[in-house]
Amino acid sequence: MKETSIAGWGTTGNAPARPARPFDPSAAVELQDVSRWYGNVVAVNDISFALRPGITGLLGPNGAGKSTLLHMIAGLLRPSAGHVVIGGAPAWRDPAIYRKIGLVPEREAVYPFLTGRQFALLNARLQSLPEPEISADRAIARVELTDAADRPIGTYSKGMRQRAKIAGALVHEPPILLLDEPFNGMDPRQRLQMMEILRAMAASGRTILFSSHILEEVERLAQNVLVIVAGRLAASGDFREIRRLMTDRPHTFTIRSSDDRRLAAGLVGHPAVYGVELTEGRLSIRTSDFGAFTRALAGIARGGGITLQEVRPTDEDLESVFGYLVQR
Amino acid sequence: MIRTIAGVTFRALAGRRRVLLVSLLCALPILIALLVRVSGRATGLDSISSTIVDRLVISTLVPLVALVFGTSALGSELDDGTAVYLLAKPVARWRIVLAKVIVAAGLAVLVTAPAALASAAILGSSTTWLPHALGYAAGTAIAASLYVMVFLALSLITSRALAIGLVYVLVWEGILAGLFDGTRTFSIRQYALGVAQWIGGPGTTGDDRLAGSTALGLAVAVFAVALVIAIRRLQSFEIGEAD
Amino acid sequence: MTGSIYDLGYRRYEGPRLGRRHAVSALFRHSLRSVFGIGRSGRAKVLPFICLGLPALIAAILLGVRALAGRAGVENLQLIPGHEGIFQLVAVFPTLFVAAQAPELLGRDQRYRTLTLYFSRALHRTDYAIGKLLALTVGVGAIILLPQVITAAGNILLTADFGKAIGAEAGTLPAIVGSSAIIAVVSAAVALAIASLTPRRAYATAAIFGVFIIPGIVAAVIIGLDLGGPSDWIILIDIGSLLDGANAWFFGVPASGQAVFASGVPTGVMTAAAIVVGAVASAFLVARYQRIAA
Repeated sequence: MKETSIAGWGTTGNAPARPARPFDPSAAVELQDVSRWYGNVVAVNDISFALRPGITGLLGPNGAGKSTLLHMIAGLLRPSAGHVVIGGAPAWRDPAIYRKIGLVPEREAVYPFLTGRQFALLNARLQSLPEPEISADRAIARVELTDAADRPIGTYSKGMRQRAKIAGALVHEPPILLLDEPFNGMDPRQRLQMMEILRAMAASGRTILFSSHILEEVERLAQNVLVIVAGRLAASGDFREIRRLMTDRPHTFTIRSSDDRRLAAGLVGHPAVYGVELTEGRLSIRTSDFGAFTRALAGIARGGGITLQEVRPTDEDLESVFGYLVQR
Repeated sequence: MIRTIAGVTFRALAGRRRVLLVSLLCALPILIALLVRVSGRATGLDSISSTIVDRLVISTLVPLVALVFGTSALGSELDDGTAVYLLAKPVARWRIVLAKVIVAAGLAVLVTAPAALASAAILGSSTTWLPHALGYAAGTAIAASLYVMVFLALSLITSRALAIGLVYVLVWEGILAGLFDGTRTFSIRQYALGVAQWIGGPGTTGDDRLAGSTALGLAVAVFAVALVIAIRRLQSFEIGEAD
Repeated sequence: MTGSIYDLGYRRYEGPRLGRRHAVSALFRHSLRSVFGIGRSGRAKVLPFICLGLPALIAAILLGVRALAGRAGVENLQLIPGHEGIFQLVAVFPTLFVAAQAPELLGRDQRYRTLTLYFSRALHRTDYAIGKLLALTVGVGAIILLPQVITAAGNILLTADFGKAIGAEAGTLPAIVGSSAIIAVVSAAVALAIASLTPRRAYATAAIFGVFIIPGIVAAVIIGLDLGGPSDWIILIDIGSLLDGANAWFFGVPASGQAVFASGVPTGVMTAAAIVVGAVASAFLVARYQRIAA
């Protein structure tokens, strides 16, 4: 897990530029010490990470800086400090990177008088593709918009507009895909379909980054998670791994056994356990050292002749992890 | 590439209601010219023609039309942030600006130059009506293109481009430039009238104007400067979070 | 596992509600503040305060000139306008003000769909339109009245006989109030009527300018043609001229604008026409907000 340092965020003046560390050639996108401030407000605070092929989820509460970060990666916003590097070159002021990037922004689609097909075609032409019509049709088919493709985008529902935007971003088959709250307004079926599309693209080696504040989406789709809170990177990696690393938080387990009360009595004596709660039908244990606890549990149960029927960590889901991170 | 962007811009700008309104507006000078002719009046036509084309068309209609087309060609997309779809593409920024300018200026010229041409032609005397009309049309075209370019550049500098543009037109062109002779070198209206005088021959616009070549040269210079400013601003244009 | 709902102590508000009158006055106050850019960023204040300050400054300068001329022994300079001449002097500022601020008042609510919020409260649709109209009218009124007040103060202070001067000023008070009211209401109503047609502030501003300026030029050209007869009544399409005529009527002097004077249309008629324009514009505004989709 990588923690971001607090030191180094500048004031409204210019922060001294830190020399770039050598960039990782295997990473599609790399950020080093990237910050962005607007006057006195720091939107993104000293963030460093590298994106590799696969799906990464950018998770954070509203206003945490996800959009700002995405726009900086997309070369649409200049970092106030730090470096955003795509394929070895800075992302800012370089229109050529858009051959490699597909961006699905949060905003409404431009030109509502264009039909879905015309919009995809416009994107294809602006990308200087050799066969724009074919690429546009293929992108439309991929997001399953073929039926409505000849109606103006202004008449689309919100979910259809999202799909039109995604078609526009896929039209040039970019190796890097950036999506800002892509599942907004999609019904569950559309969301599942879109997730399938993204998984297929990731499996073929693309680097995908999507932002969301909906935990279930990120939990289901992302192999890697970047948690942003108040402009800072609070955690990154697989969220279960993150949980394990948070040793200053007690882990909570739910246990069902043949004799909860006697098991509780036995566990209370163990130094790793500091919270025991007995409710109808189950036992909730809070422990500071889950390694020692899991080893002790088996021994205590066997010693008391108690059968363990269910042992389940209650707070290893992304929601609890997120909750802990936000409260820090 | 430029053609693609120009095509979309054209469809965005030439919406039905807008074209209708603007055309009605530009039929106005022609109607007045016809009215004058119909009234049978024979003297002082040149000064009337000059009033119509200079005060009504070049000083009022052209700036308003150019304001509408010029600030919304790029400004409307920048304002609501949908410019991201145009900017997140591997297209050189100068192509984008040029495409927008061509369409916006083209529309403005298309709408205003015929009005000036027709009005001047209707009111012109039998000997000089053609050169005068052509001169005025050329002057109007120059004014329209220049205003559009300046307002387009302005829309990249500030979100209040329209207000500032209006203040410029009203205060600078309307009041100050008429008062002080030295301001002639900085007034788009004077460039237009100088060119009109140059092409239409002496007596076209009545007053003492900038020399034609000077006027044209200044116009081209202002256009180039505004173009460069616009391109550079677009290259560093930042699009942040949706608000 | 069954579900249950927990009583968190949520209670409905059963207390007194302030009702419609209060809602309208709140809207009025809020609109008046936003018309002058108060409560917004500094940049929003620039134009309104220029429109407020420059006319006052001009009046003050004229006052200064008169005082100095009086010192130099020149009395009763006819060139310096009194109350009746103020409007013609500063006519551009009310126009600039309403062209910039009317779209500010109406455009945001239309664009960001806050009209739904307004109309789902005690406020009626008509109240919304009238509230905005009142606010802008008061704003324009302030712009016109400030130079008048300064001129009045000058008139009183520059004369040796205070009592007589105050009497004279009190005599012109109805004229000042009447003419300022008409100017304010008509300018505000026309501008708001146009601004209510589109949520895009830029277009509304351009349209308002067009409506205030273009007919004036057209009228000036046609009157200059000296075609005679009924064609002179074309002056009635120019709002600026109508207001000028109304101003002249209240003060009992001939109209000062060149075209207005040349047209020979009696100032009483122009005043009536101005009132009609104001009424029609207000009615249009109210009707528009009756029908607007919220």
